[in-house]
Amino acid sequence: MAYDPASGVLRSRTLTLSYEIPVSKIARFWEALAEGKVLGTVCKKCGRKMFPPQAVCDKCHSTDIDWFEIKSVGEVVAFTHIVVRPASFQDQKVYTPAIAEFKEEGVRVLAWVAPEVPKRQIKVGMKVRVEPRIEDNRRTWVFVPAE
Amino acid sequence: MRKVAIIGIGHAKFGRRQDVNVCEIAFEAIKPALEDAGVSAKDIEYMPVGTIGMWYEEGLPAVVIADYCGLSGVGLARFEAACASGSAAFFSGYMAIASGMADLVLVVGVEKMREVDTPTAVELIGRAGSYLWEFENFGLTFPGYYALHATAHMAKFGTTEEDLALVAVKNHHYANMNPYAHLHEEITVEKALASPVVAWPLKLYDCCTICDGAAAVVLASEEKVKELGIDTPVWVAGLGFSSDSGNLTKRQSYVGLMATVWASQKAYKMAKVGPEDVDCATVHDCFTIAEIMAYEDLGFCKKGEGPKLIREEQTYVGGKIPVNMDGGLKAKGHPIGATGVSMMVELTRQLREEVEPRERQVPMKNYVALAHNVGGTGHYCYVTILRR
Ligand SMILES: [Zn+2]
Repeated sequence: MAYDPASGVLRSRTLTLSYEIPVSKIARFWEALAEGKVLGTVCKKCGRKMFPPQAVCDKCHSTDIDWFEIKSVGEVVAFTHIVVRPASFQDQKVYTPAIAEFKEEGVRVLAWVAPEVPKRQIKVGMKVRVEPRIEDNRRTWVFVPAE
Repeated sequence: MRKVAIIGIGHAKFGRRQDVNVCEIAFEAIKPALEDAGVSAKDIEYMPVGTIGMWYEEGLPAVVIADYCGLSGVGLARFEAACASGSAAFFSGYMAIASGMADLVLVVGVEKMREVDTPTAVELIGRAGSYLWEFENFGLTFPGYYALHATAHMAKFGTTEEDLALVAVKNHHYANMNPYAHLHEEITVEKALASPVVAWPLKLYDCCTICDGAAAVVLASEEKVKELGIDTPVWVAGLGFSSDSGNLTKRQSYVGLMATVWASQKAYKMAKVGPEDVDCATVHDCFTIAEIMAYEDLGFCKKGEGPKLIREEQTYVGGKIPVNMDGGLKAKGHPIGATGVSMMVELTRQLREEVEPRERQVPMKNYVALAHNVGGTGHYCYVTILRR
């Protein structure tokens, strides 16, 4: 397209990419978010619990899958505050992805700690619950302090 | 399986290389590698290329690089194992010779990451994980993935931000002596700690650079080594590979990378050596916490004692186990697909005892060196053990 003799580079044609991601096999997960629930899947054959949910068992390959709700109190095991943000997150303020372990359900979940939680309050060992949110028309889920 | 040796090495200058495209920077590594081996392009039978692409314009990089360097006609493939793509290509080259399919292979690692702006590069690397569950809603970045491990390591073992900074100080020190390195700048702990936060607790000086680069090695069978009269072949003594879950939530802990543990165990077993036999190592220090976890996961110290190793300067030249004498990914730079091959170039120089300046040369006892190359956040791992 445009040759720039000063920098010695030629700017290429532009390509904008966005994917249509099939989620029909785990539609229940996305529907449950609107009902206020965060769900994982469990294998009816071998008992394997899975989060993120998937339509087949990753251990025994059974397709006989059930759903369960993650509703207990979990504990943050790792977190970070993302300051340098990707192109598609430029309009966000600093955000805090964390991983919390839910011993009762036997899964770990990755989510943002809710933006209203003061950053200095966020620590490894912090007790949290996971709750669905709808933000900018996107169904998502966040951690909120449990006590 | 036949024996395989590295007989030629080449390395482009890493950095922001707006002066060259992907073919031109690959040529800067390929030409010296072929010359070092004493062979020409027409002798090469197979050329595996480690590269991610996306941030540069070419869709079939292996093809256009071969064309540009007069290698069209050779067996070609592009390898993706995230930041371990170079090692994946190296492994394929190794197998081609070990199996008897080829006698001379040229392994190329290359990346041109600076043809897009920084937020776009951050986005493309950030998507290297489980896109739907970690990026779509949560925008995890590459520094973010390792920052999660840093907070877990700090909480469990009392690792400090100063410990992380010490790794950066060391790697900047050695990169400053490496003419091929991206950054030539000595730093202090104070300077590292005062740098802006990228993904807390990781700051600018905890992070590798996004840069352009290429590296190449020529591999040969034992017969070919004899035929060419190579005086210092460096042999591939052990190779181990492994991986871990795409979703971090499926892992048991965040204070180490199990893929490193599993891959290194395989490599040690094949080479019939242990971590105590290794004279020097290049480890995957995309972030400072990654180098500390690598010390532990490779068995250079016990789990949780990585910070002590760097505090005592045991990973400097003259220490118990010198690590990243080329400046590491941290300061030499991390042009993703080039990194694994760049590690082989550095270790070959070390084993040939030809490193300049001499302050960077590790004294050899056993003539055993180890390359540790991680893809993503322990999503892939290759450990390669070389011996002279
Ligand atoms: Zn099952």
